[in-house]
Amino acid sequence: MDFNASQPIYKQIIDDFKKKLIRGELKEGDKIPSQRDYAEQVRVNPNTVQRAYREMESMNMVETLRGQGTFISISADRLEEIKMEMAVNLVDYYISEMESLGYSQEDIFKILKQEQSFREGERR
Amino acid sequence: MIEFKDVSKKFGSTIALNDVSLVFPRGKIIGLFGPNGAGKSTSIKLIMGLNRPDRGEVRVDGENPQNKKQDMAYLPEIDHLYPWMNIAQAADFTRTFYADWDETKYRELIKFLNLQENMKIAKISKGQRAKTKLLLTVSRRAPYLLMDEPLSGIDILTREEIINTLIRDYREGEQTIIISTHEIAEVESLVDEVIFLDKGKVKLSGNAEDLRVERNMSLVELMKEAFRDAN
Amino acid sequence: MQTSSLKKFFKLYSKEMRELRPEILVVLIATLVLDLLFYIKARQFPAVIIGPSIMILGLAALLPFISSFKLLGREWNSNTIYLLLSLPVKGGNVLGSKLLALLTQYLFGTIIVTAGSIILAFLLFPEPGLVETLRQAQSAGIDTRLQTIISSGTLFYLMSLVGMAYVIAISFFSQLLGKLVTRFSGPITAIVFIATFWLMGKLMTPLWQQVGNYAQPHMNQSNFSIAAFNQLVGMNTLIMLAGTVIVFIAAVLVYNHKIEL
Repeated sequence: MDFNASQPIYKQIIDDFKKKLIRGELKEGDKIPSQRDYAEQVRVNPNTVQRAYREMESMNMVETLRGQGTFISISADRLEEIKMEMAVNLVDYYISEMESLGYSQEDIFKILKQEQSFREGERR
Repeated sequence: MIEFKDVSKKFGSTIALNDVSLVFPRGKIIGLFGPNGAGKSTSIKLIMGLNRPDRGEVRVDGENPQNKKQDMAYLPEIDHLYPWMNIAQAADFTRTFYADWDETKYRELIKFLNLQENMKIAKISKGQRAKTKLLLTVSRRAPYLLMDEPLSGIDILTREEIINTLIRDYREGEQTIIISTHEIAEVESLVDEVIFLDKGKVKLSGNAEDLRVERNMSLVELMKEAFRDAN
Repeated sequence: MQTSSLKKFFKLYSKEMRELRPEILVVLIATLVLDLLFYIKARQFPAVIIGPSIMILGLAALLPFISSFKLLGREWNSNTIYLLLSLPVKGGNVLGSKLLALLTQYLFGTIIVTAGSIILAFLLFPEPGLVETLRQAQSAGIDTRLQTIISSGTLFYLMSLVGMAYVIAISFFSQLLGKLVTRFSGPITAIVFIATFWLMGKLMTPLWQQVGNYAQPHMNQSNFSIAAFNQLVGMNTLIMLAGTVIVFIAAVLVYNHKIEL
């Protein structure tokens, strides 16, 4: 995993797990690597990984069982929440970037519609 | 915990540290950054007890560094091992002086780093010497690991090996690692806390992640910005 | 893992001995070569045995002093002083192990030369042989004399050993003071060496005179007493030992409190 050093790393670790959850690569009950293993895999300070895992625990994404490891422990509602958060963040980012370039709200949605048709055309 | 209280140090007419007060918190990986002559090496030598401050005091766990040498694993920038020794002899030498030597870790690490016990220190490459220094320091369960430019002059593959070794053997919360280096980019994801030194003074210090949140930039970018004003 | 002080000291001592290996080998080889040469050539001039023995004896006595500069100076030159100063050992152990190694070098050197000479003598003159010589001496009543000669000789040797330690201690002290300055390190070392030698000499001379005065009545022509002679040598040795200890402690203090990198 390549990190963007301008953003807090522990957040990027959490985002990485969120994306895996959203894509379905990780499911309820799946075991995730131990903090130590994960730190070695992605070459990050174990303290940072610890912070990420603790946050994920308080965000109700994972659960650590003594002597057994850390497992995905997320309710269906919570997963929906996370999906929505991720989507909204991406859209937010897109709209802010477009606005900063000078596009109006109308332009933005017109272009979106155009892109949508274009993609559907590609699919056929 | 390591504390500098109003520390000043001069070498001849060159000021290495100028009234510096700072804290190296326990159980963290701390990056000591800054340009040449900033005072990084001097700081590490003061912690090791190889130098004494002209003014102020340096305290390691509240004590004089001279009395804490058994808790320090030192990796200096220069080649400081006896050239006629081979790795086995150097390990045996180290083992005799430190109660925290971990023989199992040593056996494991020497394989991981691709070194052989019969390699003579004088005859191996620069990268292998860097790995040997690492081997001898990390094979101990020392509370403090002081690394002065551990990556300089080392090829990329060896650097990766060194950083991987540090990560896999790091005992978070128990072990304090201080890394002084130019190669900030290499250790971005490694350091918890950072201290930027310039011309003997602390320019900036804090938690790496907090700084990223506050300033929205990487440590490398932070360093560039901090020193742009200096010029 | 056991890390007793004795083990640490011994580890330092072994390291120093390893550094002195070439010098000890030099004395060994020189002895073998010269004794061999003389064995081949000396059939004509037996008395000339003394020649090589004295030469190499001088070498064996001089080398430890020279090596004292190598043992300490080299730590700085090869940067191993960074390793030494970061070890959890104090100056007493560091300098003590070096001193002991140099004295061992002196011991080995002198034993090698002496053994070489004795072996050479008995090879050149197989008659009457070692055992026979001793038996003859015993029957002639010289054995008591031999014993006293041996005891005086041993005392003398002990004095030379302390003398060697004395010179090495001054060498260490001057080198360490030399290391405290960044420029003119060499000249400073030489000056301190000479000054310390002179100063210690000044301090010890009155003591030597005292001992001399005390022994005088026992040492004139008519009343020569081996015991008194031994006492004289013994006292002088003790005085020099005290001087050695003073200079050595001074060197240790400099190492522990003043040396920086």
